[in-house]
Amino acid sequence: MHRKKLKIFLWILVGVSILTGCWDKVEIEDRAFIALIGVDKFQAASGDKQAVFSSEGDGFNQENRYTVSYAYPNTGMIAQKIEGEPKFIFVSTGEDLFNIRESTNTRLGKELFLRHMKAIVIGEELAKDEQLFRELMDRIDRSPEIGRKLHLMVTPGLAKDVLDTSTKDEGVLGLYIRDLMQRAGRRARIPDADFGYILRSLHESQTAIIPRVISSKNEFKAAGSGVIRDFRLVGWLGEIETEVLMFMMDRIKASTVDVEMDNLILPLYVTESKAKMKAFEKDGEIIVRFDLKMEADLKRHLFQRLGETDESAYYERLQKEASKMLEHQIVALYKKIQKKFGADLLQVGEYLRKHEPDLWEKVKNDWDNVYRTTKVEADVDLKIRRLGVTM
Amino acid sequence: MEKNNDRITSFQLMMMLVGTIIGVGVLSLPRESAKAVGPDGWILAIIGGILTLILAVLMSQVVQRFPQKTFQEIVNSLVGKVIGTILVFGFAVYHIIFSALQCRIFGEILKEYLLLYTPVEVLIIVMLLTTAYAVRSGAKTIVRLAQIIIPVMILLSIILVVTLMPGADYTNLMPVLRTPPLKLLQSIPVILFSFLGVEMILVLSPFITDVQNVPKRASLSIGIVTLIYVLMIVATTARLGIVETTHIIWPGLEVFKTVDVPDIFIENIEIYALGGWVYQVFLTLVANVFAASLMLQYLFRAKSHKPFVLPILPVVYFVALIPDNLAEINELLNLLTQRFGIVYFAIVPVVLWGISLFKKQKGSGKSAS
Repeated sequence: MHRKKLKIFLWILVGVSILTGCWDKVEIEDRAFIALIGVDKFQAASGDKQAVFSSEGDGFNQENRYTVSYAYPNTGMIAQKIEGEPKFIFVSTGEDLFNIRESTNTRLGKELFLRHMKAIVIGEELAKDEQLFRELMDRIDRSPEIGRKLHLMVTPGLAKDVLDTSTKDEGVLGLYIRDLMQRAGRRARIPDADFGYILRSLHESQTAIIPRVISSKNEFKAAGSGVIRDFRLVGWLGEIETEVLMFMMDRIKASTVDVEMDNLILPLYVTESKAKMKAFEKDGEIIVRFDLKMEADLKRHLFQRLGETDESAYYERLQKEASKMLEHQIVALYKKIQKKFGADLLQVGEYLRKHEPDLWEKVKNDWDNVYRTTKVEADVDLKIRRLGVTM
Repeated sequence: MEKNNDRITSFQLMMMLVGTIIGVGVLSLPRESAKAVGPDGWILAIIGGILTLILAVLMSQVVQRFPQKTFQEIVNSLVGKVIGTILVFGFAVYHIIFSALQCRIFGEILKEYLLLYTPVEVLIIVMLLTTAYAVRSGAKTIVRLAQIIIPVMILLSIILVVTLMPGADYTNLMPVLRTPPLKLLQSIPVILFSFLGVEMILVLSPFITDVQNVPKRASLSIGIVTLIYVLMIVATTARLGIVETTHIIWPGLEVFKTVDVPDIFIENIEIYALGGWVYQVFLTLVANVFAASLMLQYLFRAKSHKPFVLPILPVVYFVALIPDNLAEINELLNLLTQRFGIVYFAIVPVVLWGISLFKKQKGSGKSAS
């Protein structure tokens, strides 16, 4: 009797484990794992035949507003099973981002799958359009599938061109960009700014920096950054400016700084950097103060120049020179961001809200104007620690 | 069937309480608290925890005074039969509506994040049937479920919170205590929803064997819950900042999207958080449906709660489908907690405790004379 019951139970168990399946299964081959998306503002005369599917016979005409390019790797080739193109790119236009995604599904024969997406590149024109940019941000923010570790990047020109770049040694463009960005913490020509940071900064201070990516025929360059203020692109920061900004925001640990002294350009490799921002009121003015502590290695001097390079006084002078140069750059950059863009990129307002709530209560209603009158101070303490193996 | 199927220990009660209190609310808790008091959300959670602790101790004392008595017997002997019946009936209705909304939010989140093409009705039905199976098995099985699930859950939530720790910006919690104390007090109802479920002490009172340990164990469970809430709020606010936290519907889930564990082939950590959360909701749901069926058993003077489990399900199902969308669900939920929940969560226990204290004194006075 017991054996019989056990037998029935076992059969049920086998049945349950074998017969169950996924409610909404999609075979993995039928999924296009999108690694990178490029979003552009639609331009009528792009002349790209591939992109244009006419919607003739449609009584309800939609206005084309976006051009979206999807790139996904040829998973078969990566697994080294089949030959062919390392990546596929699909370009589609339409009125709305989600709309475009759905209509691309109908053309592709595959399901677009965004959960593993690594980066979104937006074109300059789109970034300058407040309405479209805000729509894009909300679309990403609202979507449950897109992660916040994503890299949002902006490119001068068209995002589509970035996707079209044929990289030689990297098949998956999105992964390539992610690798580039992950090195950002070490070589700071590009801001360490993922989508989570951008969202946070935009929410809190209505401004953010977005990494810039530049492409030529078969090469990428991720360098510099775009400044977003009030949800549109207002300007660019160059490579060195971005680097200094990263120092000020305490987001990088290592980078190189070139110092000119005695008609010699000396590269210093910064190995350690610690920045502290303070904002306080003094004589009715708000003063923003940056204290940086850095350590650096000397990487090159001049061959066969003996004498002064073994004296500590020489290095003290070099330290002072480098500190002075950095202080100067910090003040200049702060003023540029403040005067030219009027953007509170360093989140001074947030600092006041957190650390000086009484002062913040006074200025928060007129912060935009008050910010433009803030004064900046910088104090850099750079120490040269290592000299290499020659004196 | 086992003879002592309806006997549970106070330790099992403790696990059950943790399982019941942490429910669907934990994912939206950081948003609610940030909306109300900004960066002081964790202080609000601690205040809520302390208040709940007091209530739990009061309830435990009532239970201690009436060992192995049902909720109905307790209220009947304290406030009389008429009011007692109304209270029991209200308790049943409260649990039914509450489980319905839990079900709906569960379905909504699962559909949004995991099962994109599965109809929300199917999600609700599957969950309800599983719940019914557990509830029909009786009190002992339910608390054993909790005993298995909760320790794993506590461990999982600690591991998950640890992944959130590095890279968080703790200055987001500044300035500390700038919220006016009055506003802090006014915001307490906001946190209340997250602590609903302590009433299970009253519901489970007839089954508890070692009554003397109940206050201690109940307090411990509230401590665990408060700790998890505080960690959750701190980690979420630190990682997302206040503005974003108030902006996202389920910041407790979304925060895991900011985590990127380098060099490990694990992406989308939020899925694991969601997986653990499903068990948590399941336990809450089981507790609510169990309480509702018990109350109906008392009302109809039935021998067992079992016949009432299945008839409850359609009611729960249809109530769950009444709200149109999340905005409406949230409004309903606030109404339910602040009008209905507070009665059974705070007012009833305090009144019961007061009367029992009064009667006890009278009783002891009598016996002395």
